[in-house]
Amino acid sequence: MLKLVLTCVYPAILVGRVLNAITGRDPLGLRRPAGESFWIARAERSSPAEYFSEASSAEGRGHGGWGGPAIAVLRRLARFTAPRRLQPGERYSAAADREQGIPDEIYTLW
Amino acid sequence: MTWILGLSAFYHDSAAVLLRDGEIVAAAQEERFTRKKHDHHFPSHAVRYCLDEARISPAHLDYVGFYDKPGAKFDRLIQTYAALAPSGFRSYLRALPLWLRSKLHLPVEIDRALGHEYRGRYVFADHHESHAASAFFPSPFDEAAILTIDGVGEWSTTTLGHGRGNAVTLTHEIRFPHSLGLLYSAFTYYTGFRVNSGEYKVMGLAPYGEPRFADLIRKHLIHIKDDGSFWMDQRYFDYCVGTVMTSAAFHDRFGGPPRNPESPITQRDMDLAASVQVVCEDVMLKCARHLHAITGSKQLVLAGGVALNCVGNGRILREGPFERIWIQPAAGDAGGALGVAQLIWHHVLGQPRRAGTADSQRGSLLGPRFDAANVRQLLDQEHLAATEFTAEDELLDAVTDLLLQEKVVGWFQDRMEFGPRALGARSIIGDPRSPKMQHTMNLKIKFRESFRPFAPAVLREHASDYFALPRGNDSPYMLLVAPVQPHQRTNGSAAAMQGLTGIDRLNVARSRVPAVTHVDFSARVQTVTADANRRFYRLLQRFHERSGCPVLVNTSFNIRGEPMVCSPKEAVRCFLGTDMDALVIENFLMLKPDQQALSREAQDAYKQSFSLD
Repeated sequence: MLKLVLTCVYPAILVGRVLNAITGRDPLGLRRPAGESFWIARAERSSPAEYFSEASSAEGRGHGGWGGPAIAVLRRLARFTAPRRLQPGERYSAAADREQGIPDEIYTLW
Repeated sequence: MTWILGLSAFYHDSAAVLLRDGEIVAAAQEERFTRKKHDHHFPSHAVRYCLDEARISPAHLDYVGFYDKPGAKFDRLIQTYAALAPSGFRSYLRALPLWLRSKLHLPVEIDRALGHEYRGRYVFADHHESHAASAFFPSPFDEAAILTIDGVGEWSTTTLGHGRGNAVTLTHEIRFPHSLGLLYSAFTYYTGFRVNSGEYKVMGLAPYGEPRFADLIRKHLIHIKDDGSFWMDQRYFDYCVGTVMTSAAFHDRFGGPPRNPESPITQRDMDLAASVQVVCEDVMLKCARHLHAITGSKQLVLAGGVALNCVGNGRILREGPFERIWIQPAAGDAGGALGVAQLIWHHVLGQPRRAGTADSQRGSLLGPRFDAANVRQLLDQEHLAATEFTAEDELLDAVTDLLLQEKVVGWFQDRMEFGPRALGARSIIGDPRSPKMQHTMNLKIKFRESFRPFAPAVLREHASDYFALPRGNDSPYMLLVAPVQPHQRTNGSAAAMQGLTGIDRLNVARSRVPAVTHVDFSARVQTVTADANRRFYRLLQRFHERSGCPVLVNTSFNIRGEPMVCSPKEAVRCFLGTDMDALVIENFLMLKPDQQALSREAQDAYKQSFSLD
């Protein structure tokens, strides 16, 4: 069921791809940058409270891709998929685990 | 009293670390308890151990920290799909359910794992800042330049920064998908080894090869600037949205598909390993030089998975501009748990930091220990014959006798190591002078590839007689490779090896300590001090007194694919399941001939219970 919903959301990703192409945005730096150095200056920290929060996107800023709308949709969707509280006496097991057959090297990137 | 729990989880090498008022109380990797190498699950067992060590419950914790920022990581994942769509649709469908059900709800997930007992705040630190903190805060330096290099965190793959007092600041970064760690992993995959554990094998294989592909790598795969920054041509890789590391263009460029795991290793594989190793060292060295230029610091600290590349670390120390370097022993993701905990102490709570003359990692012996009662109970249960020594000198003499007879000894003492290296607490040891020791340990004890080298543990005060470590630098965590001193090498061995290729070079006696001398005359050194590990130090002393050699072979207490042993029960299982000659657990000595032999079927079952890495 969730995969069906995710399939329905995928057009938002495709729209992001099209907008990236139209506007020439290259969030992954697939085109080799010109210049003397490939180092990127890191963004200044926001306030400590914001910086150390879960939602902090301190490292995610400034990439300029058009994935934002899809991210917003998926975050909204995630509100309906949150793990439930454990019942008294219930032993913890992860709310979800990785699919079988995904190589470690790829899973690591997710 | 302030209790802080640091966590790394859900990717690989899950771990937990507990701080009390900024001091490390306990640290352990989940794999040691679950017996699943690089276990990625929430570190429930490691957390339980840490809390038990301190005799507290989750309700006593003041802060819980997680080693990366799920929000930023999710941003990177979706931006990647949006950059490469429609490629990656299958990857998207496989990755996203886990994010929606768990990873986007980490406070809830961790709350569940802690039994809803914890009432405090969750803190999320940047992945590379966690690495940087784990490198700087435990180091013995008041100030230092910081270099972190790994596969990827949120967006960063490499960062430069500076630490001073209680502050860590990262100033520059290279971003995904341009990653030195992933380049190395791509070659690990391509040469038929398992990513996340096979990188060590590639590094060990490199000295058997010639770096004849290095120019090809530099020309097509990675463009490296003089300041160490780099850009990678993604046409050669498939990790962004595929399910393998390398693309068809990569295979075309290097002359064929990836090697099948467990198929024979060819000279070409060795040359590929040598080539990527040279490129990796090149980048590490350039980064270090640039970092020195922009910080002016004389000290360097390192962390991130690539900081486990001890050959590269050794070159930075010998050829780089820094006078001293310190590397976090749990440099991979497990160390991130320590980093985030220390960030909370110093950055969130603003607590001061004073560096000592020694580091604050305490030899990295931060895991569980087992007392005599535990051992006695196990001996009774398993009907094992053992001698208990009440005097340490007698135990050390008995073990030295065995070592001098070229016996292989399991050495289980004190608290378990935190990090991937065995440092004399969960070790298998032997006489490095024995010409057959490397072969015996690889094939009969560890059941692993014959090309793999072993590391020397050496009395610190004698290290410079055997290994060329720059003055003022120790290698307490086995993270530096240094050349074996020329006067310890066997006359004519270099000439004898010149006519040989590949594994055949192993047959040449290379030095007075051949079991720990790699074919390029290098060694991955561990310098041992009484402060870090008193009993292991005393054993080395005793062996030195009796043999004239202050060095022992030291390898991790496990077989191929198995996490390092944690408990006495696992040590006994490994002892009985292999051709190990003797086992020492605390004050108890067990000899193989005194034990009931395990059937061949039982030994095979033991070996097969771990998937090959």
